[in-house]
Amino acid sequence: MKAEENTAQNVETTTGSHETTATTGAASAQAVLALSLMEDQEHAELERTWSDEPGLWNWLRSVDHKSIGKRYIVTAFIFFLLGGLLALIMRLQLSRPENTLLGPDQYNQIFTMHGTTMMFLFAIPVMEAMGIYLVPLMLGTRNIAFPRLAAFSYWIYLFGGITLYVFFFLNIGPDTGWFSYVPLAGPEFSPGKRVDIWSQLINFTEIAALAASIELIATTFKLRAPGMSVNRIPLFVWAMLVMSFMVIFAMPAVMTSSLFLTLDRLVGTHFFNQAEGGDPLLWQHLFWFFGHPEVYIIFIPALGFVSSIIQTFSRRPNFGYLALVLSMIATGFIGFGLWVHHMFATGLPQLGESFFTAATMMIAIPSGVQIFCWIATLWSGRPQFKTPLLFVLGFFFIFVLGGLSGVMQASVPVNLQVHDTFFVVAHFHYVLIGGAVFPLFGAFYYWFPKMTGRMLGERLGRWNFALLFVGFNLTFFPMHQLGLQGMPRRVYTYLPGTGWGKLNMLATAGGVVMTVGVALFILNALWSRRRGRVAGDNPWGADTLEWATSSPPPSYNFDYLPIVQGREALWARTDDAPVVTGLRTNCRDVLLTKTLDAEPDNTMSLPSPSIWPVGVAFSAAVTFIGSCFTPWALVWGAIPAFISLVGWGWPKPKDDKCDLTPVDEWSEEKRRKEARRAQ
Amino acid sequence: MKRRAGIDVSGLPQFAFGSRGLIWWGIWGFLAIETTMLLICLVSYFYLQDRATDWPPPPTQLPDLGIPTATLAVLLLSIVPMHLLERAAKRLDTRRTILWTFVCIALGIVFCVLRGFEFYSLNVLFDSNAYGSVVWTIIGVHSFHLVTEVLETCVIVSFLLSGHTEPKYFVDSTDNALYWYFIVAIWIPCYAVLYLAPRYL
Repeated sequence: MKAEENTAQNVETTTGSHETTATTGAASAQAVLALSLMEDQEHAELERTWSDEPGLWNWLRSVDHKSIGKRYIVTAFIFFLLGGLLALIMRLQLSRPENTLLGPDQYNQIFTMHGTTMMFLFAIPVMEAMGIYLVPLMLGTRNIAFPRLAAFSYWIYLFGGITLYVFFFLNIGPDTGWFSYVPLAGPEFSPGKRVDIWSQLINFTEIAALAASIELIATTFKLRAPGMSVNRIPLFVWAMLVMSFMVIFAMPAVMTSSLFLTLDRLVGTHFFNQAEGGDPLLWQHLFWFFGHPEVYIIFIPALGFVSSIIQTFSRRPNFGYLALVLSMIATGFIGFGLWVHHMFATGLPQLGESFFTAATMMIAIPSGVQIFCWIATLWSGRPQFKTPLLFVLGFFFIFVLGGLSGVMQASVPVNLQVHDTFFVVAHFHYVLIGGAVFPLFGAFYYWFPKMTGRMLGERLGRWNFALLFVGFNLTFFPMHQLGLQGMPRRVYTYLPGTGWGKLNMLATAGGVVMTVGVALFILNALWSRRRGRVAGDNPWGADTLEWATSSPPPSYNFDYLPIVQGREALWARTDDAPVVTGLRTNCRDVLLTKTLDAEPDNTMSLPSPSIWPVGVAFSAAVTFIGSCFTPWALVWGAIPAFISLVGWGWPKPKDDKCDLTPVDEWSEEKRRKEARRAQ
Repeated sequence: MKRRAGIDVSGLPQFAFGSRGLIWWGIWGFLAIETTMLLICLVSYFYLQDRATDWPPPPTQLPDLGIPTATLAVLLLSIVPMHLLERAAKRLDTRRTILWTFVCIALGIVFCVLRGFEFYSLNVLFDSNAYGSVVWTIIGVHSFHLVTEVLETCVIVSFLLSGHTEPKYFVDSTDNALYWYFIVAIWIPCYAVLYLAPRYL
């Protein structure tokens, strides 16, 4: 708060030098004078307007994007730990031939839960969560576009995750792999409720992800600070934007396919039943039409982290802003043209295979462009090798290796040879852990000071990185060899005569090292949260707007919304930086700007905290769980869901001071009069 | 860090119609999702047709045309009062907005009832064969939207009826119109696929 008061006192009362973009409004001199007089009072009022009151009830009602973002990140990280523990148990089981730690049924559930957790409960949510927390701050606004939807997104995600794990501990965990191929997952070969739980989990997480994407898109298009025209949007926000669009066009595919699967299992439709004209391959097409873009949905936000970290620690603007933006968009498009390379082994027409081979090779081009832009940035900058940058360098090494084994598999003969072997396991862990988890850890180190006000320990950070990097390569590099030697995926054990024992033992040892690395991170975070070095507003000397406010940011993010003067907002800022005045402090007002050039356009009052998003999420959760058992759950569940939705959208009481100017003041006649006066 | 007052926004309007507002973008995002989902259902239809020798697979009969065409006609007709509603809302005209909303709701009830009978015109059940499954799913997903949209229109007009006549609620009416147009527009290709394609393709 001290820093804020200081800045507040420094607001100058210059009157003459208004921006050329200044809009109609009160006389400038008066406005500025009022501003300097009302300072403390205004801060107090902003705090009253935006902060959540204490207590569990108000905690549930919160619509602050920062609270929601932090909850989302912590929850996703807990699921990451659960998924990681499952992986460790699998590694222990595979450490030597004919091990008896796990039986085949347990192993099936555990590898399914591992994949499902990491993909649906960790990777997508944590990326969206970083966006929910950071995007409004980076754009210089007070909250995310649809705050109640953001709260809903979190709750439905949380309920989905809890549902999956409760059923798993009841021994009803899904056991058909994270992609639930039919006919194995169909009614004939998977009776019981295990697969139903899986397909309902898809509903939970896809709704959460879709809601978050819509918020991020609307925020990016309409809530940018004045001056942040499209060519000044930070690369991180571009990454989140591309990811959000990919979610919007990819998720419906898995939504539809899980709907088909649910219908097949619940009411006896025949989408995947060959005997009645259905086709099991339809499942694979639909699933991978989502599943492949999904890889990029996880990877593109990581490009945003990497761009931010490299720019800050090279002490210069990223080389090739336009090339980086275009290659992210290109990745977004080409990502939709690759899904069939997951299906080369199903015997498709050769022409189709050739097309998808070409597309698969083509996606290496934008990735290459990005890597070279970053190398150029580092090369011509003055790199400071702090922990976040170490993780980014680790990302380069691991991701490039994963990319190489990916290009290998674009070739149909190689693909057929290594299909369903540990080579593929090695490849996608190199791409996903290298491409997403390493940048994510870098991002944790980079933004932890902003979120908590304290720095993570640098020495522990280096150990954290070293152990994770060494452990990762020890675990997954031998799997390339294992795969080439013919070890298939998803086997719960193997015979001594296969000769796979030594490399498996090595991989398990690597898994233990990784576990120690992650444990160090948790220790570091818990210790630094209370005792870490106090960060200050901008500990790294970074350029984006989230560093222009205190750490952690106040409930209203910025006391005055900033006006952006260049692409690197804080580096381009002049000494007497202009700010936006005139937003009401007693209402949750935000400024909407024009989509392309970010000129101020209109203001609106964002919704206040509400319990109804929790209500809608809860009704939806009950509906989804119920519909594992009877289709009528959809009908009965719709009633509380509808009531909560009406409660969610119902107008505030008439006497609410923030409700809008009455109609007559905005009537057509008045506007015409004003237009005449203007002439 | 010194700062100075740059732009005063106190004189800006506190609401805006269409793409200048926030909700419009939210609705478009939602429509993009729903359109993608229905298109994927239609693609699945052709995928399954491609796997079959006869379509619809015997002994399934072709769907009837009468009631489905009537539903489509009422849907298309409902665009007119919805457009008038949108125009009235943009003029912040409470009386006319409410009037045209009621006309739309009346037409909405008509096409929901017709839709109920339309299921009988399919001449197939969802569990008869894969053709029945995909046809029922397409029409089912669309019907879900029909009912939701009529209910949502009722909720939004109840804002106005309960005396909430601030401009914000007129913006809600126009954004709701966007959703209504979508429901109508997306049914045109669905109708063509369900009823015309098996006859003429």
